[in-house]
Amino acid sequence: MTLGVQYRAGMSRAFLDAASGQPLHPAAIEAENTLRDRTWADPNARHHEGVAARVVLDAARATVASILQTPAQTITFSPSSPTALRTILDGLGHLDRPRWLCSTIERVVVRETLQCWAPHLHPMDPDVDPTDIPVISTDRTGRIDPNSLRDQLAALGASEHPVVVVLQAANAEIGTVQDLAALISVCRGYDCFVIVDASNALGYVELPAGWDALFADAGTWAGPPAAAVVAVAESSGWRGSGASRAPADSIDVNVAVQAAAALDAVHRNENERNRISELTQRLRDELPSLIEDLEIFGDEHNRLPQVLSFSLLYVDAERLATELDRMGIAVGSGSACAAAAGLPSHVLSAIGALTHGNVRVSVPWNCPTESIDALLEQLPSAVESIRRDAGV
Amino acid sequence: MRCWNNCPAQSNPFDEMQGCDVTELPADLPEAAAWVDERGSLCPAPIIALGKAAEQWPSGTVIGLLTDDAAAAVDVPAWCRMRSATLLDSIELADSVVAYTVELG
Repeated sequence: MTLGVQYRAGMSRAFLDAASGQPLHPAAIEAENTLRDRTWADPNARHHEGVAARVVLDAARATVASILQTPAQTITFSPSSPTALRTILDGLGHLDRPRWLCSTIERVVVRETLQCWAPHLHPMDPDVDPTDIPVISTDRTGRIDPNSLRDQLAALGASEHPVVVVLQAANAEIGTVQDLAALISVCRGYDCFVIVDASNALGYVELPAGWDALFADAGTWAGPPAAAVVAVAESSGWRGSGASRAPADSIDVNVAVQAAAALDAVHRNENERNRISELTQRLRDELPSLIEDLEIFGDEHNRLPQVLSFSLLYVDAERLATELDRMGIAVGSGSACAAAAGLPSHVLSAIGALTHGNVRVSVPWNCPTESIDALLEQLPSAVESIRRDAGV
Repeated sequence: MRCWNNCPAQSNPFDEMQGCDVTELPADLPEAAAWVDERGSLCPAPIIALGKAAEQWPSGTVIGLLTDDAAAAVDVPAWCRMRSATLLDSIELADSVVAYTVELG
Protein backbone atom coordinates (compact mmCIF):
# COMPACT_ATOMS: atom_id res chain seq x y z
CA MET A 1 0.00 0.00 0.00
CA THR A 2 1.63 3.26 -1.07
CA LEU A 3 -1.42 5.54 -0.74
CA GLY A 4 -1.06 6.12 -4.47
CA VAL A 5 1.99 8.29 -3.88
CA GLN A 6 4.82 8.06 -6.34
CA TYR A 7 8.11 9.59 -5.36
CA ARG A 8 10.86 10.23 -7.82
CA ALA A 9 14.01 9.19 -5.99
CA GLY A 10 17.58 9.93 -6.92
CA MET A 11 17.20 13.69 -7.18
CA SER A 12 20.08 15.37 -5.41
CA ARG A 13 18.59 17.81 -2.94
CA ALA A 14 20.12 20.00 -0.25
CA PHE A 15 17.58 19.81 2.57
CA LEU A 16 18.28 22.57 5.12
CA ASP A 17 14.91 22.98 6.84
CA ALA A 18 15.17 20.30 9.55
CA ALA A 19 13.24 22.50 12.00
CA SER A 20 10.11 21.86 9.94
CA GLY A 21 10.66 18.11 9.95
CA GLN A 22 13.43 15.69 9.08
CA PRO A 23 13.87 12.00 8.31
CA LEU A 24 13.59 9.65 11.27
CA HIS A 25 17.00 8.82 12.78
CA PRO A 26 18.29 5.40 11.60
CA ALA A 27 18.66 4.37 15.25
CA ALA A 28 14.93 4.93 15.75
CA ILE A 29 14.08 2.76 12.76
CA GLU A 30 16.43 0.03 13.95
CA ALA A 31 15.02 0.09 17.51
CA GLU A 32 11.49 -0.13 16.18
CA ASN A 33 12.35 -3.05 13.91
CA THR A 34 14.02 -4.90 16.78
CA LEU A 35 11.32 -4.31 19.38
CA ARG A 36 8.12 -4.16 17.30
CA ASP A 37 6.95 -7.61 18.46
CA ARG A 38 7.07 -6.50 22.10
CA THR A 39 5.56 -3.02 21.97
CA TRP A 40 1.99 -3.49 20.78
CA ALA A 41 0.28 -4.54 24.03
CA ASP A 42 -1.09 -2.21 26.72
CA PRO A 43 1.85 -1.56 29.08
CA ASN A 44 -0.59 -1.20 32.00
CA ALA A 45 -2.02 -4.71 31.53
CA ARG A 46 -0.77 -7.43 33.88
CA HIS A 47 -0.55 -10.25 31.36
CA HIS A 48 2.68 -11.44 29.79
CA GLU A 49 2.29 -9.30 26.65
CA GLY A 50 1.50 -6.18 28.67
CA VAL A 51 4.52 -6.72 30.92
CA ALA A 52 6.72 -7.15 27.83
CA ALA A 53 5.55 -3.75 26.55
CA ARG A 54 6.05 -2.26 30.02
CA VAL A 55 9.68 -3.47 30.11
CA VAL A 56 10.38 -1.81 26.76
CA LEU A 57 8.64 1.42 27.82
CA ASP A 58 10.65 1.50 31.05
CA ALA A 59 13.86 1.04 29.07
CA ALA A 60 12.91 4.00 26.86
CA ARG A 61 12.17 6.02 30.00
CA ALA A 62 15.54 5.10 31.53
CA THR A 63 17.35 6.14 28.35
CA VAL A 64 15.80 9.62 28.41
CA ALA A 65 16.33 9.86 32.18
CA SER A 66 20.05 9.14 31.94
CA ILE A 67 20.48 11.97 29.41
CA LEU A 68 18.56 14.39 31.64
CA GLN A 69 20.37 13.00 34.70
CA THR A 70 17.11 12.49 36.55
CA PRO A 71 15.47 9.36 38.03
CA ALA A 72 13.66 7.17 35.46
CA GLN A 73 10.30 7.45 37.25
CA THR A 74 10.22 11.21 36.55
CA ILE A 75 10.02 10.64 32.77
CA THR A 76 6.83 10.15 30.79
CA PHE A 77 5.95 10.24 27.10
CA SER A 78 3.34 12.36 25.43
CA PRO A 79 2.07 12.69 21.84
CA SER A 80 2.97 16.38 21.38
CA SER A 81 4.43 19.50 22.96
CA PRO A 82 1.06 21.12 23.76
CA THR A 83 -0.15 17.89 25.37
CA ALA A 84 3.11 17.65 27.30
CA LEU A 85 2.77 21.20 28.58
CA ARG A 86 -0.88 20.65 29.50
CA THR A 87 0.11 17.53 31.42
CA ILE A 88 2.55 19.64 33.42
CA LEU A 89 0.03 22.45 33.98
CA ASP A 90 -2.57 19.92 35.13
CA GLY A 91 -0.44 19.22 38.19
CA LEU A 92 -0.37 22.86 39.27
CA GLY A 93 -4.03 23.24 40.23
CA HIS A 94 -3.15 23.51 43.93
CA LEU A 95 -1.03 26.66 43.52
CA ASP A 96 -2.61 29.65 45.23
CA ARG A 97 -3.41 32.29 42.61
CA PRO A 98 -0.17 31.92 40.66
CA ARG A 99 1.25 34.47 38.27
CA TRP A 100 2.55 33.47 34.83
CA LEU A 101 5.62 34.43 32.87
CA CYS A 102 7.23 33.40 29.59
CA SER A 103 9.60 35.09 27.15
CA THR A 104 8.79 37.05 23.99
CA ILE A 105 10.49 34.36 21.90
CA GLU A 106 8.73 31.25 23.24
CA ARG A 107 7.19 29.05 20.58
CA VAL A 108 3.70 30.14 19.51
CA VAL A 109 2.30 26.75 20.49
CA VAL A 110 3.65 27.21 24.03
CA ARG A 111 2.17 30.69 24.45
CA GLU A 112 -1.16 29.55 23.06
CA THR A 113 -1.28 26.58 25.42
CA LEU A 114 -0.52 28.86 28.37
CA GLN A 115 -3.19 31.34 27.33
CA CYS A 116 -5.68 28.54 26.91
CA TRP A 117 -4.85 26.64 30.10
CA ALA A 118 -3.95 29.25 32.71
CA PRO A 119 -7.51 30.56 33.15
CA HIS A 120 -8.90 27.02 33.44
CA LEU A 121 -6.63 26.36 36.38
CA HIS A 122 -7.52 29.56 38.18
CA PRO A 123 -10.88 30.83 36.93
CA MET A 124 -11.59 32.92 39.99
CA ASP A 125 -8.45 35.06 40.04
CA PRO A 126 -9.43 38.59 39.03
CA ASP A 127 -5.81 39.71 38.88
CA VAL A 128 -4.83 37.39 36.05
CA ASP A 129 -5.86 38.33 32.53
CA PRO A 130 -5.88 35.02 30.66
CA THR A 131 -5.52 36.71 27.30
CA ASP A 132 -2.40 38.48 28.41
CA ILE A 133 0.31 36.21 29.79
CA PRO A 134 3.16 38.51 30.93
CA VAL A 135 6.27 38.22 28.79
CA ILE A 136 9.90 38.97 29.41
CA SER A 137 11.97 40.60 26.66
CA THR A 138 15.32 39.40 25.41
CA ASP A 139 18.33 41.30 24.16
CA ARG A 140 19.08 41.56 20.43
CA THR A 141 20.70 38.12 20.42
CA GLY A 142 17.62 36.52 22.01
CA ARG A 143 19.14 36.06 25.48
CA ILE A 144 17.18 36.81 28.64
CA ASP A 145 19.11 38.93 31.11
CA PRO A 146 18.92 37.30 34.59
CA ASN A 147 18.64 40.76 36.16
CA SER A 148 15.62 41.61 34.00
CA LEU A 149 14.08 38.32 35.04
CA ARG A 150 14.60 39.23 38.70
CA ASP A 151 13.00 42.65 38.14
CA GLN A 152 10.07 41.18 36.24
CA LEU A 153 9.43 38.55 38.91
CA ALA A 154 9.45 41.25 41.56
CA ALA A 155 7.07 43.37 39.46
CA LEU A 156 4.71 40.42 39.11
CA GLY A 157 4.45 40.13 42.87
CA ALA A 158 6.56 36.99 43.15
CA SER A 159 7.12 37.68 46.83
CA GLU A 160 3.42 37.13 47.54
CA HIS A 161 2.39 34.74 44.78
CA PRO A 162 3.86 31.64 43.22
CA VAL A 163 4.94 32.24 39.62
CA VAL A 164 4.82 29.64 36.85
CA VAL A 165 7.80 30.48 34.60
CA VAL A 166 8.09 28.89 31.17
CA LEU A 167 11.51 29.23 29.54
CA GLN A 168 12.84 27.72 26.35
CA ALA A 169 16.31 26.20 26.52
CA ALA A 170 17.08 27.31 22.97
CA ASN A 171 15.33 29.07 20.13
CA ALA A 172 14.87 27.10 16.91
CA GLU A 173 14.47 30.19 14.74
CA ILE A 174 17.68 32.01 15.66
CA GLY A 175 19.62 29.26 17.45
CA THR A 176 20.27 31.17 20.67
CA VAL A 177 20.78 29.00 23.76
CA GLN A 178 19.66 30.58 27.04
CA ASP A 179 21.81 30.68 30.16
CA LEU A 180 19.25 28.46 31.87
CA ALA A 181 21.39 27.83 34.96
CA ALA A 182 21.53 31.57 35.73
CA LEU A 183 17.81 32.06 35.01
CA ILE A 184 16.78 29.10 37.17
CA SER A 185 19.01 30.41 39.94
CA VAL A 186 17.11 33.74 39.85
CA CYS A 187 13.79 31.89 39.98
CA ARG A 188 14.95 30.00 43.09
CA GLY A 189 14.95 33.33 44.95
CA TYR A 190 11.17 33.26 44.66
CA ASP A 191 8.39 30.70 44.83
CA CYS A 192 8.62 29.77 41.15
CA PHE A 193 7.61 26.64 39.27
CA VAL A 194 10.08 26.54 36.38
CA ILE A 195 9.00 24.74 33.21
CA VAL A 196 11.67 24.33 30.52
CA ASP A 197 10.83 23.83 26.84
CA ALA A 198 13.87 21.78 25.85
CA SER A 199 12.79 21.22 22.23
CA ASN A 200 15.71 21.67 19.80
CA ALA A 201 18.21 21.72 22.70
CA LEU A 202 17.75 18.28 24.24
CA GLY A 203 20.26 15.88 22.71
CA TYR A 204 22.26 18.72 21.14
CA VAL A 205 23.40 20.84 24.09
CA GLU A 206 23.90 20.09 27.78
CA LEU A 207 21.01 21.23 29.95
CA PRO A 208 21.41 22.32 33.57
CA ALA A 209 19.50 20.73 36.44
CA GLY A 210 17.22 22.66 38.76
CA TRP A 211 14.04 22.89 36.66
CA ASP A 212 10.73 21.70 38.09
CA ALA A 213 9.40 20.30 34.84
CA LEU A 214 10.70 19.93 31.31
CA PHE A 215 9.23 18.92 27.99
CA ALA A 216 10.64 18.50 24.49
CA ASP A 217 9.47 17.58 21.00
CA ALA A 218 11.06 14.35 19.74
CA GLY A 219 10.89 15.64 16.16
CA THR A 220 13.63 18.13 17.02
CA TRP A 221 16.20 15.35 17.53
CA ALA A 222 15.19 13.32 14.44
CA GLY A 223 12.76 11.30 16.53
CA PRO A 224 9.12 10.70 15.58
CA PRO A 225 7.23 13.99 15.15
CA ALA A 226 4.20 12.78 17.11
CA ALA A 227 6.10 12.34 20.37
CA ALA A 228 7.31 14.48 23.22
CA VAL A 229 9.01 13.69 26.52
CA VAL A 230 7.91 15.10 29.84
CA ALA A 231 10.03 15.23 32.98
CA VAL A 232 8.70 16.33 36.36
CA ALA A 233 11.33 16.68 39.07
CA GLU A 234 10.60 14.78 42.28
CA SER A 235 11.43 17.84 44.34
CA SER A 236 8.96 19.99 42.42
CA GLY A 237 5.53 21.05 43.66
CA TRP A 238 3.79 19.10 40.89
CA ARG A 239 0.76 17.15 42.10
CA GLY A 240 -1.20 14.78 39.94
CA SER A 241 -4.60 13.42 40.71
CA GLY A 242 -4.67 11.10 43.73
CA ALA A 243 -1.29 9.99 44.98
CA SER A 244 0.38 10.37 41.59
CA ARG A 245 3.80 11.99 41.71
CA ALA A 246 4.39 11.81 37.97
CA PRO A 247 2.14 12.21 34.94
CA ALA A 248 0.86 9.09 33.20
CA ASP A 249 2.15 8.05 29.79
CA SER A 250 -0.17 8.73 26.90
CA ILE A 251 1.67 7.32 23.93
CA ASP A 252 2.15 4.28 21.75
CA VAL A 253 5.10 2.33 23.23
CA ASN A 254 6.47 1.90 19.74
CA VAL A 255 6.70 5.67 19.28
CA ALA A 256 8.29 6.12 22.73
CA VAL A 257 10.96 3.61 21.71
CA GLN A 258 11.72 5.55 18.55
CA ALA A 259 11.91 8.84 20.47
CA ALA A 260 14.30 7.43 23.08
CA ALA A 261 16.50 5.62 20.55
CA ALA A 262 16.88 8.73 18.37
CA LEU A 263 17.64 10.93 21.38
CA ASP A 264 20.24 8.48 22.66
CA ALA A 265 21.92 8.29 19.25
CA VAL A 266 22.04 12.08 18.82
CA HIS A 267 23.25 12.63 22.37
CA ARG A 268 26.00 10.01 22.08
CA ASN A 269 27.33 11.16 18.73
CA GLU A 270 29.32 14.22 19.74
CA ASN A 271 31.36 14.01 16.53
CA GLU A 272 28.28 14.45 14.36
CA ARG A 273 26.99 17.29 16.53
CA ASN A 274 30.37 19.04 16.20
CA ARG A 275 30.39 18.43 12.46
CA ILE A 276 26.92 20.00 12.15
CA SER A 277 28.08 22.93 14.25
CA GLU A 278 31.03 23.43 11.89
CA LEU A 279 28.63 23.50 8.93
CA THR A 280 26.57 26.35 10.39
CA GLN A 281 29.75 28.10 11.58
CA ARG A 282 31.03 27.98 8.01
CA LEU A 283 27.90 29.79 6.83
CA ARG A 284 28.29 32.30 9.66
CA ASP A 285 31.92 32.97 8.68
CA GLU A 286 31.58 33.01 4.90
CA LEU A 287 28.17 34.51 4.06
CA PRO A 288 28.89 38.12 5.13
CA SER A 289 31.84 38.37 2.72
CA LEU A 290 29.84 36.83 -0.14
CA ILE A 291 26.67 38.95 0.15
CA GLU A 292 26.23 42.61 1.07
CA ASP A 293 23.61 43.82 3.52
CA LEU A 294 23.23 40.47 5.24
CA GLU A 295 22.56 40.31 8.97
CA ILE A 296 23.10 37.12 10.96
CA PHE A 297 21.01 36.62 14.09
CA GLY A 298 21.37 34.79 17.36
CA ASP A 299 24.10 34.53 19.96
CA GLU A 300 27.46 33.86 18.30
CA HIS A 301 28.77 31.62 21.07
CA ASN A 302 25.79 30.21 22.94
CA ARG A 303 24.04 28.66 20.01
CA LEU A 304 22.44 25.48 18.73
CA PRO A 305 24.82 23.58 16.42
CA GLN A 306 22.11 22.98 13.81
CA VAL A 307 20.55 26.45 13.31
CA LEU A 308 21.57 29.64 11.51
CA SER A 309 19.24 32.53 10.70
CA PHE A 310 20.00 35.60 8.61
CA SER A 311 18.12 38.33 6.73
CA LEU A 312 18.90 39.95 3.40
CA LEU A 313 18.01 43.61 2.91
CA TYR A 314 15.60 44.34 0.01
CA VAL A 315 14.97 40.63 -0.70
CA ASP A 316 11.57 38.98 -0.96
CA ALA A 317 12.02 35.85 1.15
CA GLU A 318 9.27 33.88 -0.53
CA ARG A 319 10.77 34.48 -3.94
CA LEU A 320 14.24 33.59 -2.67
CA ALA A 321 13.00 30.35 -1.06
CA THR A 322 11.18 29.41 -4.28
CA GLU A 323 14.26 30.19 -6.35
CA LEU A 324 16.51 28.14 -4.06
CA ASP A 325 14.02 25.27 -4.10
CA ARG A 326 14.13 25.29 -7.89
CA MET A 327 17.93 25.01 -7.59
CA GLY A 328 17.49 22.00 -5.30
CA ILE A 329 17.95 23.73 -1.93
CA ALA A 330 15.23 23.73 0.77
CA VAL A 331 15.40 26.40 3.49
CA GLY A 332 12.94 27.89 5.98
CA SER A 333 11.98 31.52 6.52
CA GLY A 334 10.45 33.66 9.24
CA SER A 335 9.44 36.44 6.87
CA ALA A 336 5.82 37.55 6.60
CA CYS A 337 5.54 36.74 2.91
CA ALA A 338 6.61 33.15 3.59
CA ALA A 339 4.11 32.70 6.45
CA ALA A 340 0.54 31.48 6.11
CA ALA A 341 -0.66 34.15 8.54
CA GLY A 342 1.01 36.96 6.57
CA LEU A 343 2.81 38.23 9.65
CA PRO A 344 6.55 38.10 10.28
CA SER A 345 7.92 35.70 12.87
CA HIS A 346 7.31 36.98 16.41
CA VAL A 347 10.88 35.93 17.26
CA LEU A 348 12.44 38.12 14.56
CA SER A 349 10.17 41.00 15.64
CA ALA A 350 11.04 40.52 19.31
CA ILE A 351 14.79 40.80 18.70
CA GLY A 352 14.40 43.74 16.31
CA ALA A 353 15.73 41.75 13.36
CA LEU A 354 15.04 42.71 9.77
CA THR A 355 11.97 40.56 9.12
CA HIS A 356 11.99 40.55 5.34
CA GLY A 357 14.45 38.48 3.34
CA ASN A 358 14.82 36.02 6.21
CA VAL A 359 16.43 32.65 5.65
CA ARG A 360 16.50 30.02 8.38
CA VAL A 361 18.92 27.19 7.82
CA SER A 362 18.37 24.18 10.08
CA VAL A 363 20.71 21.30 9.38
CA PRO A 364 19.31 17.77 9.56
CA TRP A 365 21.15 14.89 11.19
CA ASN A 366 23.76 13.37 8.81
CA CYS A 367 23.49 16.39 6.51
CA PRO A 368 25.96 16.05 3.62
CA THR A 369 28.63 18.77 3.49
CA GLU A 370 27.61 19.24 -0.15
CA SER A 371 24.30 20.76 1.02
CA ILE A 372 26.16 23.67 2.60
CA ASP A 373 28.48 23.91 -0.42
CA ALA A 374 25.40 24.20 -2.64
CA LEU A 375 23.89 26.99 -0.53
CA LEU A 376 27.15 28.96 -0.46
CA GLU A 377 27.47 28.53 -4.20
CA GLN A 378 23.90 29.38 -5.22
CA LEU A 379 22.74 31.96 -2.69
CA PRO A 380 24.84 34.98 -3.82
CA SER A 381 23.61 34.87 -7.43
CA ALA A 382 19.99 34.21 -6.37
CA VAL A 383 20.08 37.24 -4.05
CA GLU A 384 21.78 39.41 -6.65
CA SER A 385 19.16 38.58 -9.25
CA ILE A 386 16.26 39.38 -6.88
CA ARG A 387 17.86 42.66 -5.84
CA ARG A 388 18.53 43.57 -9.45
CA ASP A 389 14.87 42.99 -10.33
CA ALA A 390 13.84 45.18 -7.41
CA GLY A 391 16.07 47.93 -8.75
CA VAL A 392 18.34 48.21 -5.74
CA MET B 1 5.46 53.31 -5.10
CA ARG B 2 3.39 56.37 -5.74
CA CYS B 3 4.33 59.99 -5.23
CA TRP B 4 7.42 61.75 -6.41
CA ASN B 5 9.69 58.83 -7.13
CA ASN B 6 7.34 57.57 -9.82
CA CYS B 7 6.97 60.88 -11.57
CA PRO B 8 8.19 61.53 -15.10
CA ALA B 9 11.94 62.07 -15.03
CA GLN B 10 12.74 65.49 -13.67
CA SER B 11 16.04 66.58 -12.24
CA ASN B 12 14.77 68.32 -9.12
CA PRO B 13 12.99 66.05 -6.64
CA PHE B 14 10.88 68.99 -5.48
CA ASP B 15 9.61 69.44 -9.01
CA GLU B 16 8.81 65.75 -9.08
CA MET B 17 6.74 66.16 -5.96
CA GLN B 18 4.75 68.91 -7.61
CA GLY B 19 4.20 66.66 -10.57
CA CYS B 20 2.47 64.11 -8.38
CA ASP B 21 -0.95 63.94 -6.91
CA VAL B 22 0.26 64.98 -3.47
CA THR B 23 -3.27 65.78 -2.38
CA GLU B 24 -3.61 62.02 -1.77
CA LEU B 25 -1.30 62.27 1.23
CA PRO B 26 -2.93 62.58 4.67
CA ALA B 27 -2.99 66.04 6.18
CA ASP B 28 -0.73 67.12 9.03
CA LEU B 29 2.19 64.84 8.24
CA PRO B 30 5.45 65.72 9.98
CA GLU B 31 7.88 67.80 7.96
CA ALA B 32 10.01 65.85 5.51
CA ALA B 33 11.90 66.56 2.31
CA ALA B 34 9.87 63.82 0.63
CA TRP B 35 7.18 61.32 1.47
CA VAL B 36 7.35 57.78 0.12
CA ASP B 37 3.79 56.55 -0.14
CA GLU B 38 3.69 52.76 0.11
CA ARG B 39 0.18 52.37 1.41
CA GLY B 40 -1.22 49.04 0.21
CA SER B 41 2.09 47.36 -0.60
CA LEU B 42 3.64 44.53 1.39
CA CYS B 43 7.15 43.72 2.59
CA PRO B 44 9.76 44.10 1.29
CA ALA B 45 8.30 46.74 -1.10
CA PRO B 46 8.02 49.61 1.44
CA ILE B 47 11.63 49.19 2.57
CA ILE B 48 12.87 48.90 -1.02
CA ALA B 49 11.04 52.15 -1.83
CA LEU B 50 12.51 53.81 1.24
CA GLY B 51 15.98 52.62 0.21
CA LYS B 52 15.58 53.92 -3.33
CA ALA B 53 14.36 57.28 -2.08
CA ALA B 54 17.21 57.53 0.41
CA GLU B 55 19.77 57.16 -2.39
CA GLN B 56 18.56 60.40 -3.93
CA TRP B 57 19.03 62.60 -0.90
CA PRO B 58 22.13 63.72 1.02
CA SER B 59 22.96 62.67 4.54
CA GLY B 60 21.00 64.59 7.16
CA THR B 61 17.84 64.84 5.01
CA VAL B 62 14.57 63.86 6.66
CA ILE B 63 12.33 61.65 4.54
CA GLY B 64 9.03 60.02 5.38
CA LEU B 65 7.45 56.65 4.69
CA LEU B 66 3.72 55.99 4.71
CA THR B 67 2.85 52.30 5.02
CA ASP B 68 0.18 49.98 6.35
CA ASP B 69 2.49 46.94 6.28
CA ALA B 70 2.74 45.57 9.85
CA ALA B 71 6.30 44.33 9.21
CA ALA B 72 7.47 47.95 8.84
CA ALA B 73 7.28 48.42 12.62
CA VAL B 74 10.34 46.17 12.86
CA ASP B 75 11.87 46.66 9.43
CA VAL B 76 12.09 50.46 9.43
CA PRO B 77 14.20 50.52 12.65
CA ALA B 78 16.26 47.61 11.27
CA TRP B 79 16.81 49.47 7.97
CA CYS B 80 17.88 52.58 9.93
CA ARG B 81 20.41 50.44 11.82
CA MET B 82 21.83 48.94 8.63
CA ARG B 83 21.98 52.32 6.85
CA SER B 84 23.13 54.41 9.86
CA ALA B 85 19.94 56.45 9.62
CA THR B 86 17.95 57.70 12.62
CA LEU B 87 14.29 56.90 13.13
CA LEU B 88 12.85 60.22 14.27
CA ASP B 89 9.19 59.39 14.74
CA SER B 90 6.35 57.03 13.90
CA ILE B 91 2.78 58.28 13.98
CA GLU B 92 -0.23 56.01 13.69
CA LEU B 93 -2.85 57.32 11.27
CA ALA B 94 -6.23 55.91 10.26
CA ASP B 95 -6.61 52.48 8.56
CA SER B 96 -3.45 50.97 10.14
CA VAL B 97 -1.29 53.45 8.23
CA VAL B 98 1.87 54.55 10.03
CA ALA B 99 3.93 57.59 9.07
CA TYR B 100 7.66 57.07 9.73
CA THR B 101 10.19 59.87 9.51
CA VAL B 102 13.89 59.06 9.24
CA GLU B 103 16.99 61.22 9.10
CA LEU B 104 19.41 59.80 6.56
CA GLY B 105 22.87 58.85 7.80
